[in-house]
Amino acid sequence: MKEKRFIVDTTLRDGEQSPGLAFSVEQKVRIAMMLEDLGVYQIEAGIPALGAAEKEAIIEIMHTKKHVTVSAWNRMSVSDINHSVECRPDIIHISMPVSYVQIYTKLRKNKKWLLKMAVECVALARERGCRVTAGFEDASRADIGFLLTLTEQLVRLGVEYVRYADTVGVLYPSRAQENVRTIISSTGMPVEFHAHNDLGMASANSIMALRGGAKYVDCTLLGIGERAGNCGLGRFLLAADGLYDMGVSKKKATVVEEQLRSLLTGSIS
Amino acid sequence: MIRLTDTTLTHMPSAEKYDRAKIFRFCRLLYLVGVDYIEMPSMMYARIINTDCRPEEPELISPHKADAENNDGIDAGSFVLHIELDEQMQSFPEISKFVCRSCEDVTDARLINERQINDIREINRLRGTSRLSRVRVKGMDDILLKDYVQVFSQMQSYLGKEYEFCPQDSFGMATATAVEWANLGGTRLVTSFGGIGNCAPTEEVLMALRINKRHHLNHDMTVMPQLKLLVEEMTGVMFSPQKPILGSKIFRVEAGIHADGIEKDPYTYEPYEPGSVGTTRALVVGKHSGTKAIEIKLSQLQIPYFHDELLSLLRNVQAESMRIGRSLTDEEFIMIVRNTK
Repeated sequence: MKEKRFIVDTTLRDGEQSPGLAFSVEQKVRIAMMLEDLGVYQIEAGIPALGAAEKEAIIEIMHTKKHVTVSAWNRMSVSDINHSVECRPDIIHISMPVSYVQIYTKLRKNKKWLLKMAVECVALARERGCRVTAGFEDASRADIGFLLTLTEQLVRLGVEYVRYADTVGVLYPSRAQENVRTIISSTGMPVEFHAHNDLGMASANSIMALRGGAKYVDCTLLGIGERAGNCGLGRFLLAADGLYDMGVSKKKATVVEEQLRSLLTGSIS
Repeated sequence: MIRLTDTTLTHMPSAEKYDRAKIFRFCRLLYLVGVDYIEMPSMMYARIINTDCRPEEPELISPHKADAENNDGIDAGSFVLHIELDEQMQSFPEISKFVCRSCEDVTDARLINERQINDIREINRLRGTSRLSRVRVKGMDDILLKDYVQVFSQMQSYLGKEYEFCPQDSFGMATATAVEWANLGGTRLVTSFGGIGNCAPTEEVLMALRINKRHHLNHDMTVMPQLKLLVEEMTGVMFSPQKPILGSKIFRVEAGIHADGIEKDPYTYEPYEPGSVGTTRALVVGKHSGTKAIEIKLSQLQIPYFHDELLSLLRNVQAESMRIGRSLTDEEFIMIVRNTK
């Protein structure tokens, strides 16, 4: 019997960030329902802080969905989390830039600040009664020691699992496996893996993260996403199906990807 | 030292229709990006070299000094010919490498015996090949799902260190397989441009090795767009705008958080410089933009603005983007700026 693992679909968040794409509220709800029918474990539905239309879409998805878990993406910001809480998603996902280039160059802050903000933001969401997951942005270029320190804090705060993101797609399979394994064995925290396809290795890296113990893998329909895209669901299932029960049929995934292709004609060609 | 053989020309079904100049140009561009050997069908080589014309051939040159535009010569030692029968080797005395799938018992030192291995249970078939001077192992599409470290080690024990490996891509893992194989000490990889023929894409393997192993840092990958156009022209198949390394849209950026990060330092959200593969980044605005992206776009278009206008402008850009279902062109953005003021 194959081991059970889970798909977190981020078509409606990271997928939509593919330049050129802009889903309407109706499209987002329709795609979410397609994903629920497909059997994905979780839908990352969007970024409430983007504005009223995005919030409307997430609220509508929450009203329409039956069993699927729905999450909303947030920067490490009180304002973002407040927007999310208004949408009442099942999970509040808080993204934390963890590589030095992200912390020192993009945010122009330091590690101490990041640890403090991470704790504050998680605590805020937890006080509001939300389930929280944390995203380690640019984890593949981060210091693993720092990731472990941060993860230990997040365990204490009740974060359900952390997302290890290969934000710029430079990871290779054995390192993906090793880093995921290190986080799990050192902290006991479950790991979700988020790949980008800049070097054509998103699917293989995701498989190897599962082999390293990751419980969740992020995918998008047709692999849409920033730059060369994310881990494409159909392509990933081709390989993963040999080892794991991902709860999603390969055949059905292909059909749904074709439905999305029709929906997006012109935008992704 | 990792040596790369590109097999693109062996996977082009209508290769006979391409003229000599085009094929030579393709070969020179491949050398420039870091390919060491180019494999082609022996019939194609015979046609482009044309034995009747050999006395008039220009001076042969070293491949790494090859100039993609100007020099017609190329080093015959850099070609690998794909043959069906071992007798064909006699017609090409200047060639030192041949590949054959059906020449199983031929032990000629110039011949690379290609063996298809689709399942790790077939690896034992390689046991008897040590008497052959060179072997290429092709296939192993799903090897990353198995204990590949042990399998590669077993292959090495049967074949020595010098065997060639051509991972295939039925599961979308050929590039990763090639990289892992190189990480474990493999030195002779076989690929094809764009992954034509179900191989690991040459350009992905080169970039992954450059980033992870600092392989061939001195090679010129800025000619990638020329190679892409040439292959599209020769095959009639267009590469996806999202195709790693080659896609026309991979360095477009819209998301506010990314636009802001790239403005501060491109390294924040780019795995390598767009210029290193002959392309440029472009900021587009739309639903996912933030005020910083709007500010950058206004500056790029040299449109004067006040800071207190940015938020309303952003809201109008996002609304229009959602209405039309895509990002905005510069013309559409300028129109919104005019209507917002």
